[in-house]
Amino acid sequence: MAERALPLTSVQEKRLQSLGNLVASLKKGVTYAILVSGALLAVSPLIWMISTSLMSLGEAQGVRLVPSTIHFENYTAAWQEADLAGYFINSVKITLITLVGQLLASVLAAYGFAKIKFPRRDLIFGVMLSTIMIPAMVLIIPNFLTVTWLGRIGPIRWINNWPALTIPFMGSIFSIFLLRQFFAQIPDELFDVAQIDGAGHLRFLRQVVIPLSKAPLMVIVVLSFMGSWNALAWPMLVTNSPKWRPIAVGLMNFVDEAGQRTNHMMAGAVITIIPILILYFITQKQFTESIARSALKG
Amino acid sequence: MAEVSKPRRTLFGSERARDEALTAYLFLSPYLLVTLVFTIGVLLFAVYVSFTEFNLFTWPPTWVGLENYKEALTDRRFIRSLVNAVWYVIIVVPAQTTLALFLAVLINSKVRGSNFYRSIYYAPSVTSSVVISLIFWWLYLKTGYLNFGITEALGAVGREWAAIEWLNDPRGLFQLLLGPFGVEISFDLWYLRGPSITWMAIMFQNIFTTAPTFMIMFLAALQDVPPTLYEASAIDGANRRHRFFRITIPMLPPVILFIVVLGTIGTWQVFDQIKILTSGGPLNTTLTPVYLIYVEALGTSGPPRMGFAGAMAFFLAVIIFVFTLIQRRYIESGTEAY
Repeated sequence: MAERALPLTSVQEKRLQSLGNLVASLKKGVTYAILVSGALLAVSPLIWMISTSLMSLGEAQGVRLVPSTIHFENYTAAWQEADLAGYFINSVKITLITLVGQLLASVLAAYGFAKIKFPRRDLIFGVMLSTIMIPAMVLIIPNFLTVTWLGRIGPIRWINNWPALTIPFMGSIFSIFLLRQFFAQIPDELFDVAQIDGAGHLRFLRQVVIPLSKAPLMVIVVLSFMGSWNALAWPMLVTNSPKWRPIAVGLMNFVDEAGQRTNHMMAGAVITIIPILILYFITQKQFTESIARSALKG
Repeated sequence: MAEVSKPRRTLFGSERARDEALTAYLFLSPYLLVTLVFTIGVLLFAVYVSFTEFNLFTWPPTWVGLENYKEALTDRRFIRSLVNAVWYVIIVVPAQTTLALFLAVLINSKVRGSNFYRSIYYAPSVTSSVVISLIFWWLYLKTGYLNFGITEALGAVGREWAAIEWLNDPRGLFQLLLGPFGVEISFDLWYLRGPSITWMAIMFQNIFTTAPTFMIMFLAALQDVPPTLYEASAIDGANRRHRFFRITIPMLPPVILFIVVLGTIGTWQVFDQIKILTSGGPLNTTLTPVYLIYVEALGTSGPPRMGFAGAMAFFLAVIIFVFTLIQRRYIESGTEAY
């Protein structure tokens, strides 16, 4: 009896176990199914944009998912029709100037807030940090008046020129906040040692702090690059000729002009986001991690 | 000796402190200069202008006291834009927060290639709003993919689908829901019609592009939960659902607060999509406060009225501020309950 019963229960046990495995793998399967379909949904607009940019005009105006023949000439057509070359160079220039300015101002200010002691330091930082709450769009019109006025009283023009497009974005409290958190973790003893060697704050910042802070600096570079490259409302307001207009505005104008030529429009759109996508996929791992970390500390 | 050296040392100390402060201000000066001009100065200027009538061209502006504020409170378009924004906030913020949390939990549940999913999900968020809006505009056309897909899907089960012009359909949600029961909501009662189809289409776009950013923040928070907590609960016999509701969720309030606040501030200020896709139409059902402020200040529909725009901006800033405070209080008290 006992000998018989034992094999039976072990079979039952096995069955139960395999049932448990089945449920577990089903759960896993559902998880993957949701994840994969979510990923498809997330990239589908981008994929579809690329696909349409390669179609003939007739196909692009109908509902088709894949082009029957690849039309790379849409890209050259869009490039020429929309004069994207000019806008592209403008965007590169605007982005670089903003980036360098913002980086310099932020690194210096973050170091000041993190490592130099001065009266009411935390109060000043708190007040500056609270400016994050001011809705950016609310300030856009008064800012427009300010840059017009600065151009009138100053030595250089601001409207339709690089200062209006770049200088207002050089003071980013968000960047400063990110860097300050990081700088604050660098032990003060390091500075004491550097000081004995005769180094001042600037040299300590250049030779010790910056080499240690590559990760947060990269996040700021990427974020500032994206913000500057994608900006629309402000550049539209402060430029009125293609001379300094960035590519986002160029694309908007092209959309108005291109009308029904959807394939060209989409080719133009792809060209616009290529630099962002390249930058993102190169840096995405560190980038997404640091974004998340910085957010949590805030 | 001692008497001489003592004051000297303090003098040296204070001199050093002064030097330090001077260095600090030198370090801060580029940033402070930009912020004092373009944020704080401009803010004060905007507050001043809101008490005046100012058309951008005649200087100085005419002082009118609280007139702009009174007018804003009775302006039908402003009220309308606020109601639209309220719909937007109460639908988009919970939806994107839940979706973000859901995705983060999925990716966190020991799946292979979680880094891959994370970077794929985030891709729409780095794309410029012009390009994303362009794609959605095309998707939402009357002859576009969305209508096509629904027609095909319903056709398969033998149902008809009348194509909708997604970005130009003022019919409201409640109007559509109650219509089959013979309830008509007149245009005068627009606020009872609920968010329009167009407005909901834009909400969907916003959820699509914003949820991934928040997902990444949730993911980091989930990975910060000490694994020992899970192990201990597993010994106590807790199942996955228990662990999620008893351990994961209670650990999250600070992040949830942060994400809800960030989402609320963002949704109250929705602008780009409106500017690119609808210009506030159809029938003002996608008019938002920021878009109205922009239009009034620039005078796109009549003379520029900076003062009036400034007064509306002030109300908007107050609303955002109050929302942030309420959320902070509410979510913090929720945390204490645990």
